[in-house]
Amino acid sequence: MRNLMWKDLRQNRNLLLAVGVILGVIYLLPLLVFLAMGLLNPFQRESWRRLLESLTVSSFIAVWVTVLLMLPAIACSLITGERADRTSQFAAYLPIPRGKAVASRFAVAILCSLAFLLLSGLVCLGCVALTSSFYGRLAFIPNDLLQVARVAATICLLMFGLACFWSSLLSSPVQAVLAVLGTAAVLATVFLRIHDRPFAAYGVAPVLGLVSACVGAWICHRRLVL
Amino acid sequence: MTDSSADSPAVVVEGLAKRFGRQEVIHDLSLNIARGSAFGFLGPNGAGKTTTLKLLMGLLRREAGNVRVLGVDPAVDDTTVKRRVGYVPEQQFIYRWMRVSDAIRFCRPLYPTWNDDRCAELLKLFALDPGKKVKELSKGNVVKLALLLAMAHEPELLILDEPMAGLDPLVRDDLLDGVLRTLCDRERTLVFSSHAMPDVQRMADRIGIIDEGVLLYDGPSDTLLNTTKRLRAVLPNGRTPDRLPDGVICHRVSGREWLITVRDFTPETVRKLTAAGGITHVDVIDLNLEEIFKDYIRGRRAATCET
Repeated sequence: MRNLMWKDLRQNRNLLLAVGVILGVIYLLPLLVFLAMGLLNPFQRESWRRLLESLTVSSFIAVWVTVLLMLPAIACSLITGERADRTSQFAAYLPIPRGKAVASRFAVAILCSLAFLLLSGLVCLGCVALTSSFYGRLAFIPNDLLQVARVAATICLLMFGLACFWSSLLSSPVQAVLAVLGTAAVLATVFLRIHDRPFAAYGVAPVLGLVSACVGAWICHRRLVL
Repeated sequence: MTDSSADSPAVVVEGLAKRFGRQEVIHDLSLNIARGSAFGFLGPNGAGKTTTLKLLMGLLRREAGNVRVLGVDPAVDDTTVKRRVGYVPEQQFIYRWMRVSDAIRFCRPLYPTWNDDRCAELLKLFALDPGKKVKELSKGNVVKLALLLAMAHEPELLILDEPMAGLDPLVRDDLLDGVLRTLCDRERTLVFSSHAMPDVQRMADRIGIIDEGVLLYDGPSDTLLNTTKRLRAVLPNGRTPDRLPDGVICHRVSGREWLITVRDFTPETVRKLTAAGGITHVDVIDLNLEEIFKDYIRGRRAATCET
């Protein structure tokens, strides 16, 4: 199993590096803008405050980019990538039990997604904490932090489930990601139309995500060439 | 139910059928390949060789029939079959980012019978650099690596699906050398498909000819070569007899010359032919494997056209 996980991780190394670089660029962008426009004066407290506020906004953007784009991209690449470049045919000739192969891909997808979510979440919290030190209170944080975390977790589960489902059917990670985003957009429209019960989505979305992930895993397991 | 005893056949196929959509690519195919034999699978492109070999490996689902590979049904337990079989496909899709040593390290734990000495021996024989990445290897070296990975676990059955297509003669010789060494070392079974007739003639002791999913011939290669003959007859009036002799594979008329390829040739075949159509002179011509193969395919296609 470790052997397979190493292979899955290494097979997607470039994508994981790209995700890291994109997140890094999002974090670095405010600093670069401040430096380019000459707004950063290291001896001015106000200058640092404004930079930290911008970084906090960037870190929030990074969290949502991770949830909405990177997470499906990682899951789709891990599950579909080998089918797209046909290396799955090599794996198919080897005596790898299908259950283990599927478990390895899903485990690496979950672990990598969690790692990036945790990283972007911690950076976000760190930025908020630093910015708040200027005000003596927590700035930029909506009143109910738990509620935000709940929304993010709900969307994560939904996106991951959809990624698993579409990846099990399609043979290209790009097609799978587009299908995930399309489905998510349709679901978001439907959920937003439920004006009288806006929180129904919080109950439905995770269940939908889990069911999609399970169906995706089952379809993958049924495939002779993963 | 499995029967993996040493005296049972390596491969048993009965009434195998496979469809891709509406197209039937394998039709009622039956094979019985004994342990320790080398079976050469011949057929034109799209004849169903690769599909049959993939069905043996459990890489495709069959529509009908029974398949037993080393006593195990690959549709039921493909992992066990893959552990005991070495398989080299026509196209290689080994992870390009892996080094040769990575590929070996990745495959090694998957096979309980992996033999490090054999692996080292094959590395040396094929002159593969363990530090090189797969993407840096030439086509021939990638095939050598695939063959190494297929043979280093001492498989009871080695299945080669035209792995030498498009390789230069020197590389092919290296590969054949590796395969033959492995085969000679212990009693192993080899099933391979190839368009290279000299390779088939050199390695196979049994030959199967397949076209459009139908097995046209299955038997010892010596019998095929020794008893398949071409007869050249001169027709007195340019017309062929109403009834063809038994065992005709293929025949064609060119002017007054009638060329007939027959199986199970005996001197009696010539006598029957001359008696049937007033033919006075018949030449018997020996055929090589390529000519026999072509005549089997032409004969079937002509028969298909006539019907």
